[in-house]
Amino acid sequence: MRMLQAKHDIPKLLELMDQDRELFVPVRDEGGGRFARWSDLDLSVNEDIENTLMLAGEATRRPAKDQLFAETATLFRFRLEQGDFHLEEPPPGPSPRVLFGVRPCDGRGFQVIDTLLVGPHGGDTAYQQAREANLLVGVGCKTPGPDCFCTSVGGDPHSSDGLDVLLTDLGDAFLLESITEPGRDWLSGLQKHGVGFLHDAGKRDAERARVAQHEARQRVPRQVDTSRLPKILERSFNSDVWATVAPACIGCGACTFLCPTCRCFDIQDLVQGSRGARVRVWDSCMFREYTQEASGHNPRIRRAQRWRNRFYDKFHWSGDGRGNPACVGCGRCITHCPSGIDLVEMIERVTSAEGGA
Amino acid sequence: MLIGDRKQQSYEPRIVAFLCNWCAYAGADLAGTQRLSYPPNVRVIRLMCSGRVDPGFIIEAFLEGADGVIVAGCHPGECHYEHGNRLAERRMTTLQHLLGFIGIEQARVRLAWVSAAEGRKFAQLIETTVEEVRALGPFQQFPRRAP
Amino acid sequence: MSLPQVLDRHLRDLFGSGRVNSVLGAIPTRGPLGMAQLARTPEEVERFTLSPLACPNLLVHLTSKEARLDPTRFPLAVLARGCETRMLNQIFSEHGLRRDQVYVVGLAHCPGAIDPRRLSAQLPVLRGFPEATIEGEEVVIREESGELARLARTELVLERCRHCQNHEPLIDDYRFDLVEEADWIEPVSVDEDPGVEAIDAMIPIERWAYWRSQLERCIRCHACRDACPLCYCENCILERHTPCWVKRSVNLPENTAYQLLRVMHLVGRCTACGECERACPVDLPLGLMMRKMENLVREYYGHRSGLDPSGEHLLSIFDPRDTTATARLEQ
Ligand code: SF4
Ligand code: SF4
Ligand code: SF4
Ligand code: SF4
Ligand code: SF4
Ligand code: FES
Repeated sequence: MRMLQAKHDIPKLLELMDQDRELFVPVRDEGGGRFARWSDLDLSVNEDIENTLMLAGEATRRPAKDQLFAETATLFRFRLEQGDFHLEEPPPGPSPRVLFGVRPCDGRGFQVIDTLLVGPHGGDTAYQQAREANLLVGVGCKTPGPDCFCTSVGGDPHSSDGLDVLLTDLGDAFLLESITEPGRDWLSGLQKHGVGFLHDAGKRDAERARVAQHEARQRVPRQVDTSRLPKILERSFNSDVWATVAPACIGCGACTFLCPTCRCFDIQDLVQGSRGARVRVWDSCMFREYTQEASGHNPRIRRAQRWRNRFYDKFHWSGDGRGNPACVGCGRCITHCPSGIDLVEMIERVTSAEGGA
Repeated sequence: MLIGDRKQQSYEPRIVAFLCNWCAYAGADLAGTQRLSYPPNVRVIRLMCSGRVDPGFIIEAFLEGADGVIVAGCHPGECHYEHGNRLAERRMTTLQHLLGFIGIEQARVRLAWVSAAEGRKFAQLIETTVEEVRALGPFQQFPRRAP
Repeated sequence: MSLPQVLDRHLRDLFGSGRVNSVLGAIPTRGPLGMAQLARTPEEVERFTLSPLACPNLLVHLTSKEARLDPTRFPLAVLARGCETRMLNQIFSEHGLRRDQVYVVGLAHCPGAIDPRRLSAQLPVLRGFPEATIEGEEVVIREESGELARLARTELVLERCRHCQNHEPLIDDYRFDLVEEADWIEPVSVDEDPGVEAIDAMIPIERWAYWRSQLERCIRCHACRDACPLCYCENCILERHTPCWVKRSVNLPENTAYQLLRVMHLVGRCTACGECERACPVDLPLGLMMRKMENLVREYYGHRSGLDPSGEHLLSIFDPRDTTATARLEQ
């Protein structure tokens, strides 16, 4: 299902979207941008909207993952009463929401997170509820960011993987395409209410979209060959190449916390008086504490080991369940690494150090 | 100490006082035996010396719902561990300014010297602190919410 | 851009004479930020650069847990600018390292280092091993493809360079001039720091509104701690479980406590190098807090960290005149 939406009508469309689902949009802020509730924003004029919403291709620095896989999620609460513990009902899942303006790489990121948190054997209830409650409406990247390399890892600035609806920027209008069944239902619901500014798209519009998408693909600034990595990594575990990052990496959590596919967590009990909550918080394999064992032993004590783990997680032992790496090429870990470590450069280095042998 | 919704009107300030065992705590004791009245808003934590007060204790007190914090020890020169109070002085001064810089009113953190003989001074210290903190209203900047 | 010949030769000779086991420097990367590297053989020295883009504070790799796990890197020669030698002094004074473990290659006449965020804001795509040279008040940015831009130096340098009082090494075992003639940026005066003053001018409720909006953004990645060469405790209280000073949950109260504790552990030690702020992936203005505290301890206690390698720690000593400073609080 395809529909066309004139760009100057975007505010109307967003108002409409906010009717039966809560709307979240990518907002520029002092910290490089994040998703925020539409109704909390004070945007009176269109200009504000254009400057504030991040729809052109620059990704929010905090990935969309934090909307579904929160930094801190309460799993359940408990209390001590007359010497007995009582469990309280887990908090209800979120009400239906729509995430508008998800970058295609972030959309693909959810597929990676799904492999861990939505399992055939259960999975993480809080995440699953959030996953079901959120309709993901992506906007293709007209101007990809400085470190984007999505096309090198099976993605595309207009990839629809993991999204329910995808928008393509046609200059003066957006083309809306439904990808999934829920996306289709939602779009037709919108059209019913959006009479007058949401139109059926024609063949010509689809053609324009294809051109725009092709052009955007050419603008992805970085390329690297990842096709040989799976094979190379099979024999690179003990390579010297990992030692090259060790003197630079400071072992912080910036790369993993900003990554749309990093999904490690820790479980903690917060207790205050006779009440408490069990929470799930983000964790990072770049932290030394992550593998600290109670005995005092730490199997990944060195930074080269921890960095290697992150690399192997992205390119070897995890994936999106569809044959692609667990890195979606968003470039955040490159742009924001305080130590200047560049994942693309590392891929090149691993490939050239080990590829020939 | 649980944090509930506390309306400004029915607000009774909660003050945590870290008192050194040898002087300030003895002073508080004296205030009691002299039957001096002072507001019942204070939770006393007795330590061996004001120099034992880690800045983290004060941050923790605010997190757990205190509206104001007092650190009191022996007068300069009278600390039973030579100069614990002088070290406390530097820590509390810098902490108070750091808190002030992020918007925590300075009157919420108080450092005072109270000798074992100064029951009245102790009662007055509590009274002024409670009044000043009452005027500021509840500490709303960063108390922990109930889990 | 490799090292100038004299310096290159000197560093190689250090290996030859057995004076050091490694040299810590920075190498260029594809992006606008150099990367620290440890040369363990004379040949590896070749890759080092003195480019102003090589801005990460290298000293963190002297004090980090990683460094402690790797005692064979010492004695180590480090390329250190003026500000970094001041910090080295601080580390020596608190016995973080012994003076004989470090061979200081002092980089003198420092014209400043370039902030990659400030550069990226002006020149968005730079992924072709950019080079930067400072020519007077201009910085020339080049890539393989040729000259890209000439930008104003004051707009590009790190915040710490705008405040720099230590362009010349305080200590060194060997000295190398980065430019022929010293040509510094007029530092923001020590008594006037517009950023800090703007906050000082606010009333408490406004200050908190400002910091609240900042602290709410923190994702607790620990980069501010990990980037700091002076944060090297074996058991950092920011990640301890027993006792648990800061809960791991990410929310305003815990984020605030985290930051307050971090700053309190650096009062009187911090040299306001600004690495914490530069490392923060969500741009919290941590440098403001650090500079505020640096100004405060200078004003109240006449203390400047790192100036004296045998100096004592601000919070471990006292002065009979302190009471005057304390009394000022009560106003
Ligand atoms: S790679 Fe960079 S962002 Fe990641 S832990 Fe190391 S220093 Fe931090
Ligand atoms: S590893 Fe880096 S480039 Fe890949 S998805 Fe994560 S943050 Fe993006
Ligand atoms: S702070 Fe001073 S010495 Fe340090 S890099 Fe900047 S200008 Fe150079
Ligand atoms: S670096 Fe920034 S986001 Fe990370 S913990 Fe520090 S203040 Fe928070
Ligand atoms: S400015 Fe930040 S990184 Fe530098 S010494 Fe101070 S606390 Fe550490
Ligand atoms: S013993 Fe009272 S302050 Fe040290």
